[in-house]
Amino acid sequence: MGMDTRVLESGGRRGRRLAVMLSAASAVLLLLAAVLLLLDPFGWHIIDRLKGEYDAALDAVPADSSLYVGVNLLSPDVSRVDDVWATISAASTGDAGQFTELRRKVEEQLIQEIGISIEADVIPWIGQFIGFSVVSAEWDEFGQPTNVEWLLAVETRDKEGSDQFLSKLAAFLDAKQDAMVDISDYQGVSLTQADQIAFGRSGTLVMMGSSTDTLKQGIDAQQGTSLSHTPGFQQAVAKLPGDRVLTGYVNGDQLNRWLADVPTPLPHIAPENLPTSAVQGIGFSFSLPAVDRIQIDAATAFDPEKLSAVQKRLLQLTAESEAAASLFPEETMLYITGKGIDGSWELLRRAMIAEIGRDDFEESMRMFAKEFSIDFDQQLFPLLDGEFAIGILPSSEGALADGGLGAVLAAGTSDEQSLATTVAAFSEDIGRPQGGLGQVTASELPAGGTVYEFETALLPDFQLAYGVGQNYLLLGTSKSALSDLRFDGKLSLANSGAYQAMWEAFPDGMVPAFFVDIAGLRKLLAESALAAEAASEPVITSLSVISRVAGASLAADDTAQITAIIFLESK
Amino acid sequence: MRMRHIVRLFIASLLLFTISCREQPLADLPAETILERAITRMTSVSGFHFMIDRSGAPAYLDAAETLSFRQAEGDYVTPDRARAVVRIIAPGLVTDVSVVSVGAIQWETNVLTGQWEELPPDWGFNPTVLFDTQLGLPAILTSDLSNLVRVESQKLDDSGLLMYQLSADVAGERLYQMSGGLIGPGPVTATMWIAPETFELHRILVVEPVAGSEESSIWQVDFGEFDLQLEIEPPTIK
Repeated sequence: MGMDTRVLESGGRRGRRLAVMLSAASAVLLLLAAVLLLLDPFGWHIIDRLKGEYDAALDAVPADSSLYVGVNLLSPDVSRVDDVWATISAASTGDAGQFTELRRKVEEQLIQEIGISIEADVIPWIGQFIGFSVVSAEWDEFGQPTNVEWLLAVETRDKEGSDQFLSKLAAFLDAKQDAMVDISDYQGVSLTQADQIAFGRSGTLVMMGSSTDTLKQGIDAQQGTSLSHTPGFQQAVAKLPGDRVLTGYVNGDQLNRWLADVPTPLPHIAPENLPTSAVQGIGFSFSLPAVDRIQIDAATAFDPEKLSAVQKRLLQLTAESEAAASLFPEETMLYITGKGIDGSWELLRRAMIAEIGRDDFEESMRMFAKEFSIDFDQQLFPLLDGEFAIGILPSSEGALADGGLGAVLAAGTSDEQSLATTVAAFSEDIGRPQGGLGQVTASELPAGGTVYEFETALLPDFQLAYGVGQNYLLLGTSKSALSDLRFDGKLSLANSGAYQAMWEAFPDGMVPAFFVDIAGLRKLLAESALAAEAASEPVITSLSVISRVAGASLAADDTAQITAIIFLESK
Repeated sequence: MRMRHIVRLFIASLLLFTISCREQPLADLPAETILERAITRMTSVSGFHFMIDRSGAPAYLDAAETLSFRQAEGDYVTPDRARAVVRIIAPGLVTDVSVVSVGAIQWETNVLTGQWEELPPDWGFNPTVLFDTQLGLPAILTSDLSNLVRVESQKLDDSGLLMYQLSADVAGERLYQMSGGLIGPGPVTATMWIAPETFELHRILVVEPVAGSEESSIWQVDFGEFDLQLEIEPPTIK
């Protein structure tokens, strides 16, 4: 052991000591950071921001606002916007630069209209969240909004920068409008009113609104109770994906008031009698989980105390798995399924009776039965207590044959015998040689049950097939479409690999609700007699970027959710 | 002794109170006089609120029997303006439409859109015809009644006022014209409730037997807010 060795040993001890000290300091710093994160003494909400559970703009949204739409500019999904746009552009026109061009046009228009450049005047200070809310609105007798009070809240990360922006805006409006720029103060916040817009900064939020009164409501919400504190909002939004780009919310009370006011052929139904009266609110969101997928979620929050027994049963049914996909063939191109036609009818029936009275309701049902030979209130809808499904599939017969398509409705029942009796009586009545509606031909379904084909001289090209079999009421555009149903479950949609793979993109536990094979429909239309028309139809051509659209649902005691995913064509 | 006086006084007071609280019988007028005064009042009134309610067998607005009149509630002001909300029952559908009539022109809200539309001449239900001097109630009450009798006076549900009650048979032809075919042309029976003092007609109840139906159509027409002052203007059409 020489001197060099001792020096090395001494240097090693110092190095170890330094390492220990550095480690200890790092640990203390980490601990301090953790404490800061948990206690959040500066109100940064860092953890909640990362989890997608905090929205700064919401702080200024009054609790009883009708509508809220907010954008999280730092959502991980935002980074995919350009990529998704490139995917869409490549699949449609091949021009991925359209988005850039759109941005440029918006920028030019803003400079012209209000003297503001997004790039130069807004980007330098804008923070993570932007929120727009309709604070209040009234509707005219045609359901159109009037007297809309709105509020836009934008988070700032640079108060000085945002104040400069507001000053520039005020100066521009003052010069342009020759006029009435009014400045006032509320709760220590300077508010500027110019023509039909008011603005100011309260804390870390830049607010713009339809009036200073609206801004004052926003400031009050910041200091008191905002929409984010309401049970309906919390319940609905908690079910939405955390990394969403856009969050929306519709207030249930306001929705019911609007539904009650909107003109319909039905008599006015008071908000408390609407089937939606138990809705506290509906949250919705938009996210981009992958470059070839756009996801839209909606969650309806119910007030459990207002839910009727029928509504609770419908929620339970929604949560149950679906089986009708095993009835439809694997080449099915559109499929929608649900449960509880009987319950849904019962809800609507009760709402109607509460408003118009039982006598008037029953008289209208009697008139329907007299006119169309079927009492759907007593002899049809109450029997449809199972799962139902609507499918569109390839077919060369029936009303949709020009497009190479056929349509089928299958509605499940637990009382096939009664349903068969109803349908047989209906068929006998409409097929009467004297005074009937047309000709009805009955035959047996291969799988069991009776199918009726209806034709009428009044509409020579019209065909309708319907019947009862295998615990389903069946309705189709042709008998062959009904015969294509897979009562044995073989080669069915449910067994198709593509169908099964599609649901892997959905959260666990969700039950398939619908899907549309857009690519398949496009291909079929291109090969059909309608090919020339389809090629020039803007709706059809604009769908060329989409391969499939699918939706799945999930329900709990007080919430119902639906997730829809648009699958883009990737080239 | 003194106690007996007090008891007598109490009983006398009670009797006086009971007598004073008893309903005064209505003046003993013949049915024809009551009706005549009611018609006079009806033709002099400047406006009123009305409610027409049909129950029992349906009354169809069309020959195909797909639209049934149920109810109309509205206001009438002389000489020829009326507005009403009319309930119509169709197969599987109960709907309310609003109606405004100014002279011969009539507007109605579209069942699907709720927007006001001017109706072609002689279409729809025009409430002003109810009060037409040639075709309406004044003419029917003057000329078409038979077997008019006064029956026991009665209070109406919503009024504490004891009213004259008259009953009569009514020829149905003019009624048929007035109602656009909803009532008549066969004979019907009618009961009328008329207020004493003012001789305002508060209610007419018409019972119409319906051929081929076990139940009759029952029409109850209520009037109120007599001499109503109201501006009824043509609706704004978007």
